This record gives sequence, structure tokens and C-alpha cells, in this order.
Amino acid sequence: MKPIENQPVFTLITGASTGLGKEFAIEIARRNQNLILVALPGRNLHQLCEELTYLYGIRAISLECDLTNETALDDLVKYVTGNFSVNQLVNNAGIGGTSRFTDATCEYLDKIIYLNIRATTMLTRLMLPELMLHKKALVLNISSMAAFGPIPYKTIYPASKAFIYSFSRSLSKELQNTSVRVVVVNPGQIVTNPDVTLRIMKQGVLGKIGLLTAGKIARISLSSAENGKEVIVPGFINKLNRFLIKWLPESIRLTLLERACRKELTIRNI
Amino acid sequence: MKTFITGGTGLLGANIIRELILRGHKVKALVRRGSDLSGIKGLDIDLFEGDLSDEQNLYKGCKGFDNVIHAAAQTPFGFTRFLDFTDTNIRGTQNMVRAAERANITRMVYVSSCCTFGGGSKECPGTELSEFSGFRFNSGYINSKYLAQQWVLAEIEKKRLPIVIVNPAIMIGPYGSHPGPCEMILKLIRQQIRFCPNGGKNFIDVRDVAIATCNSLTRGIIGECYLLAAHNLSNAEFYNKVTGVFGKAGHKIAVPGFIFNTLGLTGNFISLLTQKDVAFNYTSSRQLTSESYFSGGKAARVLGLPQLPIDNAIHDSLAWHINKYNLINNDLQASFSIDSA
Repeated sequence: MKPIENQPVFTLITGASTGLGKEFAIEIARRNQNLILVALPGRNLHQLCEELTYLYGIRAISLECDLTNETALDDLVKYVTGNFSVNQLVNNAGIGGTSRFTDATCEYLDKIIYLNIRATTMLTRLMLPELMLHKKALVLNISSMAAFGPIPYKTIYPASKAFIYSFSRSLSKELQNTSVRVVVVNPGQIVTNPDVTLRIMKQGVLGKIGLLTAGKIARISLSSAENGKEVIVPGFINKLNRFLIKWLPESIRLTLLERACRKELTIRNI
Repeated sequence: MKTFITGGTGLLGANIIRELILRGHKVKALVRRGSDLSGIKGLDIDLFEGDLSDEQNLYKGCKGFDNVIHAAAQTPFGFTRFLDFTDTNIRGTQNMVRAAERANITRMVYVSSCCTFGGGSKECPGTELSEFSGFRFNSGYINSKYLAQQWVLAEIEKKRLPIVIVNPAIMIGPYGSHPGPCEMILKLIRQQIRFCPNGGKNFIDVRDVAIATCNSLTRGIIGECYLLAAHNLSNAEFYNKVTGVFGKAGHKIAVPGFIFNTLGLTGNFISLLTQKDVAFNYTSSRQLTSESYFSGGKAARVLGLPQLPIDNAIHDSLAWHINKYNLINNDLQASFSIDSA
């Protein structure tokens, strides 16, 4: 077994090439932690690692891997646990979209299920023995506001995020007497999303209400996790929204959402 | 090498064309009907008439070429409607990228802007990793450039298009068909600016940007962005540089940013009452008084971006514009002459 003392410690982040995952990488690099970044091939992950190493003086390893591929995921974990000491896992990789369920192909649905549900579950399971070797370890799972209620035309996505929320909460309690803490983050809409950007541009200041940038979400998540929070809903508007979702009858909510998301189906191009 | 360029008549484009000619490229430039061609007068290039709204025409223009440099953009100088920004900067870029893809171009360089990244302080300047923070300015230019870059990045990821993105800071230098960012220098020497707000920006010699842009035809990595930035100067420092180069000390009164912003808001209010655009509004005052510093370190390492002193650029920009617009009396013109051919 690898000696734990005096060995560089790493944070493993999935989906790290863009958006929230990239911002987590930058924030964690700023906190002087070494990184293992995972993303699909062809996303210039190597360049990102080079820049992070150059700017923050940390070690940053890039690993290209399709997490929806079972063998690739197994190989990734074997390589990581065999070569590095990891004390934080950020399960960020995830996909989703808006489309009629009858229009969605089985491959598309499979991809969401494999990435959002299976990859998060298996990575957590397979990395736990490694994480438990450390005095303090963290699993940070990225769920979504969508976890708090169903959304027509997104069907599988909110369901997968509800899975991550439920899974994280259960596991957190189960591991309460170990060194591993399990934290779940439920961000609302993020500014990096092109649809959201376009909306902001069209609506001006009004469109910005309740929106946070990916960087802000990453900072809030990490500092809240350090302060012992286990469920993180970044931003006041999102907290309010969660409260409303809880108390608004589901039938009313679904009717409102159905209308909004159907509109989203039609306005797709810039 | 054969290179097709858009925005060739502009400040950056005219300098890129000169650099390409130096390197022995055969250059074809997209020009709009009735464009001011003074910046590229006498250069040995082919002109191709058209604009960014016609994808088929763009395809015809760049077919058979090795490279495309897309440097055209609707810039934020003067009055511009919001739709002009989306039409040129977003749709125009989409058309150019699609045309280049169809024409099987080997390498395309897309000229974006430093404003698509978040600026920093002098001690901790913004880099390619600094997240976009420009929505607070509510500027059609900034928002459209950001959206266009997001779209280009997504296309590169989807189709592995051979595109490199460069993000220049504020460019100073000769040969522009309209003064653009150099307008500020002209206003300074005409004594039209008497007050100096706090805040500051990154300035770079446009010829350094041209060199790095041409270098990225061979050296940059596909799908990467490179900030082409050089000198972080506060507004006061920049004003002093200009008056220093011009040789005439003009004392500027320092005014805190909130006064400018109040004036900007007043501009918005007047615009609301009269239903007309007002030159100085909250968007421009917020940008003027903001501190937005950048580092061109990555471009210097990877693209070999030169970062020559800005004084030269200010001098040459002045000389060019004084010649071009016959601005001041003849004595001044004599002391500021360069080859405009």
C-alpha cells in the first residue's frame, strides 16, 4: 500500500474542461490543491492543466475519459488509485437538455442515465476506499435545482438529479462516523449556458435576477462545504425557489413549467 | 500561403494585412461596398466585395484559400443599435465560420476581444481562466462578442474545426480607417478631455497584435483562446503617456468614478425622455471607470506575442491620424510624419 504521509494529495474533478467543472478546478487550484481533471477527449484539457500549473504552481493531471463507458471508467479509477493519493472527489460531469420524450433517442436517454447516475455512483463507490485513507476527505456531488421537482420535456434530467440528491443525502448519513463527508450542491441556472446568456442579452437586467456565474457557484460551494454544510443551494433566489417548490402544489407547478419548457423547445437558435 | 481576411480596412485588419504581406502571403480582403480603404491604400492585395450577411458569398471568397482571419466586428465606437452588434458579431461570425468549414480551410483565426474574460487588478490581472463578468456593463458590444465566442468554442468542440481564438486588449497604432480606440488619443491632444476618471485598461501596440494573430496561423492550439494584452495602465497613466508623447503637458483633473457614473445615468435618463441615443450613458461610464487589467503571458509563451512599449504606438497612431484627418496645423503635421503608404 502507498504511504499516505508526505505524498502530494489530489482532488479528482469530472467534467472539468468547461463550465462549473472548470471553475471548480480553478478555485481548488487557487487553494493550492493538486488536481486530477477528467473530461472527454478533444476538450483541450491538457492546455487547461498546463495553465493551472503555470499560474498556481500546483500539479494538474489531465485524463481523457468517456465516463459513460464502463471499462473506461474502471480503468480510470485503477490508474488514479494506483498512482495518486486522492482526498477529494467532485462528481460534476453531467448532461441534460430539453426535448420531447417521444423525440429523444434511446442513446440520448442512455447517455444521461449512464453519465449522471451510473458514473457518479460508481466513481463514488470505487474511490471511497482511497478517500477513507485520509484524515479528512470530501465527496462533492453536483445535483441541480431540478432535483427538487419534476420538469416536463426534461423528464430524465430532473429525475437523474433527484437521484444524485437522494443518493448523496443517504450516503452522507451512512458515512457520518468516517472521515469522508458527502456534500451535495444544487445550483440553479448558470450564466455559462448559451441559452441563458441569450436570455440575459434580450431581457437586460431583469434576465439576470437569480443567476449566478459558474465561478461564484464554485466559490460558494467550496466555502460552504468547508463550513460544514451538507446541502448547498447557492444564491438567495434559488433558496426562495426551493421553498416555493416545496409548498406550491405539484399540479400547479407542472402546468406552469409545461408552458415555459414548451416555449423553450421552439426558440433554440441564436 | 493564401489568406482570406475580413475586417481588413479596420485598425487591426490593416496591420494584419501588412504583416501577412511581409510573410509572403497572398491576401484577399473582404470589403464592404463604399468602405474607406485609406488604411490599405497601395497594398498589393485582392479586394473582394461583400459583407458578413451572405454566407454563400463568403464561401466564394475564401474557397481555395489556406487560412481565414476573421477580424471584422461591429465596434462600440459611436452610436450603434443593439441589433447591429448581434447581426455583425454573432450572425456574421456564424456565417464566416460556416463558410470556412465548407471551404475546408486549414486554419482560421477568430479575433474576439479581451472583454470576453473578466479583468483583474494590476497585481492579479485577468487571464484566459478569468470568468466573463461583462454582463454588468449591459453593453451590446461586450455581450455580443461573448456570445459569439461561446458559439465558436461550441462549434470547435462539436466539429473539431481548426479555429484559434485571439482576444486583443485595447489596440493603439496607425492605419485604421476610423480612429476606433485611438479616438481617445485624438480627444486628448485636442484638449477635449479635461477630467480623468479612476479606472484603467490594458493597452497594446496593434502591430504586436497583428504579429501574434499571424503567428497563430501556425503556432496556436486549436480551440484555445489567447489574450493579446501588454500594458496595464490606469486612465491617468495612459493620459500622461499621450501628453508625454505629444510633448505638451496637459494637466487632467482627477475625478472619482461615481461622478462619471452619475453623469452616465443622467445620459440614460435623457435618452429615456427624448427616446434618442445619448453618447455618454451608464454603459460607457461604467466601462470607463472600471479597472480591467489583463495578462498576455500565455500568448507571449505560446504565440510569441511581442509586448513593445506603448509610447511608439501612441506616436505612430497620432502621426497617422493627424495626416489622415488633417487635424492640426502644419507644424504639428511635420513633426509627426510617417509613411502612410
